[in-house]
Amino acid sequence: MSCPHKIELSRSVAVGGGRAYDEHLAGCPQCAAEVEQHRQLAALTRANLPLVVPDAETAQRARGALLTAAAAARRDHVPATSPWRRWLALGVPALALAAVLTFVLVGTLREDATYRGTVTASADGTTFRRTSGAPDEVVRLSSGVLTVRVSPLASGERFRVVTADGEVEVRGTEFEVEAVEDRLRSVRVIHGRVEVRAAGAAPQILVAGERWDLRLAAEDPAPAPGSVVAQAVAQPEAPPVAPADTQPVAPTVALADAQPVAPTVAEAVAPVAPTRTTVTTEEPTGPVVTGRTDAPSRPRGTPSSGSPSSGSPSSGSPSSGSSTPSPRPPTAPAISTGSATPPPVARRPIEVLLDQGWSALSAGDAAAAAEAFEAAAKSDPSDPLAEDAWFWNASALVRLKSADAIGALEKFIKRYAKSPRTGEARAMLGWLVLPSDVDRAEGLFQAAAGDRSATVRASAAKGLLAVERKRATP
Amino acid sequence: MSISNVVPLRRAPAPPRDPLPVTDPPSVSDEALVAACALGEHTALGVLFDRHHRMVYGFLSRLAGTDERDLEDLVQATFLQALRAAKKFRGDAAVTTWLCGIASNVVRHHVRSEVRRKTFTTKLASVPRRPATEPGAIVERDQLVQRVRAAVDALPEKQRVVYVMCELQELPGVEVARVLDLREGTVWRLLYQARVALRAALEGREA
Repeated sequence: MSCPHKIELSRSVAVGGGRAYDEHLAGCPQCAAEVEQHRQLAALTRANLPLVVPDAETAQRARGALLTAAAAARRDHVPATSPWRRWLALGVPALALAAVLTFVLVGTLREDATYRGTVTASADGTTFRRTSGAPDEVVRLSSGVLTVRVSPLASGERFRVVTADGEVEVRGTEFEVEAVEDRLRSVRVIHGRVEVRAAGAAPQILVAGERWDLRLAAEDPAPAPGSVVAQAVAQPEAPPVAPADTQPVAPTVALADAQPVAPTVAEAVAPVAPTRTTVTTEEPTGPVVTGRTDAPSRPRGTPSSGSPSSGSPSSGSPSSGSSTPSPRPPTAPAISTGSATPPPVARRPIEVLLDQGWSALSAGDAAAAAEAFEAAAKSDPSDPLAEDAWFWNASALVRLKSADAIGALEKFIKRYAKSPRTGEARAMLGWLVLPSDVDRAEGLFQAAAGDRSATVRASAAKGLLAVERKRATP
Repeated sequence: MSISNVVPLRRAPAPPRDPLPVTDPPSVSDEALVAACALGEHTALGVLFDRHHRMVYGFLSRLAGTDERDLEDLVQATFLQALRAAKKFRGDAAVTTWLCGIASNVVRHHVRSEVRRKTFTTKLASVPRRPATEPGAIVERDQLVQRVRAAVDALPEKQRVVYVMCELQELPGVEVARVLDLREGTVWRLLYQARVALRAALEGREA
């Protein structure tokens, strides 16, 4: 080993240089002397630049001065006028302006949100919309075929395509998903991994080249009970055979309301007792939420009212054609965020009730909001949105300072232990039980302290401080 | 969700901030305390002070070479600045390193002129020292302290900050680079240059 550069030699005094470095020093008096000089200098300066350590009295005085100065700095930011007058002078016009801008822009500027996925409609008549952006990005697919490319997700970020009866969660980069009449039909993974969660079935992980197809359930001659039908590597590129009773799906919305003809997951799975092949199974997880938690308002992009009959039928797009992943349909895929001309989507009761709840909550009517959220959750308990509904039901009860809030939060935490919102619910519950049960509050705050949301972590930290304060107070 | 939703029952007027020290809850990490500071929680600032004021005192005493009275001001300014900067804390360096970075900025703004720095050097005489057994040893020690102090003070600012953080406080070079917004290689180069300059100064020769 040749002599290292002097800067490297200097660095190695601080962080070490490894075995080769040590061996070199042992055989190189020049480098060894240089290193020794650095060490002597460090010892000399440490010994002669004294560390000043304040005594307890000085520290206490400095602490008091610090907190006083911090409080003064906060007061400096308090307006001289009364908060109520300031609110009238600035808040009302600002809110009015914000409301107007929201209504004007919400339909046209959804692309301002951060999106990790590029969604391509791969068939005519595909109807979808984005309901939320990163970090919990959700694309609501009602009908048709989507090809989705997702840039690498950061820690804590999710990307899902949700249908009425299931959802597909990204574990990788690129996949194709098809829905017919609001029902998940097939999923094909091009790159990476995705997780498919169909109603009433355990989640499944699909890797590149694998394909999940609901229709193959009916054709499987020897299905094993208790799992979802899936077809894996066996025919990743072959066009699936359309069942004889499959009907054209366009116009999707009109048909969805009039006469659903394609088999739903429940219809297909229950009687056939299906099986799955060569696809690894993960532990079943509870349904997951749609939308975001950071505002008591409806998720971005959620229409305020449904307009199921205004869609124009697409021409010549039979379901078998549009649902065939390969070869591609001849239609040119149009990259879209789904927001430029949002297609009409039939809104389910749970979505309507959730909308009502958010509207009531925004209007300050927590009681009505709690009722609407509860009705939403009970309207379809198996829907992934039910988790959303129960969370906001509990949240509304908390705002209402209702005695039922604690029970609602406990129920949510128990029912959706793996939900991304469980930490938030724990923090809320911690604050509620703090006056009566400090130990329990501490446990809840500790559990919430590891949440992926910085806001929840901060709330938990404040809670733990409050616990300590409460214990210190006789 | 805003914090008002997470802490829904704290709508009542907040009680006066408790100036008395609270028990340092070991379950709360430094990072969580900084996060709470970002929300304006002054109790968290108090706990953060309790945990790290000794380290900050020591760092500032070595970096600025001022007396205890000035040190109090600098320490207070450091923690006040930490309260303001808490929202920007990224968690890519330990909180101790982050505080040292803030303290070095505070000193930079505080010590703006060479004259001020010389004043600090003069004040160094009031810094308590270890007891010596002989009067001659006291004189020699004072002279050595002043020479080392003067040599460190004479370093260019970046070299001095890096030297004190890496060499005397023994903070990881990677983290020092992050909080000072430097490349890691630059940190090691500055440390080497500081060592060469200090050695030359203490040996009475040109670097």
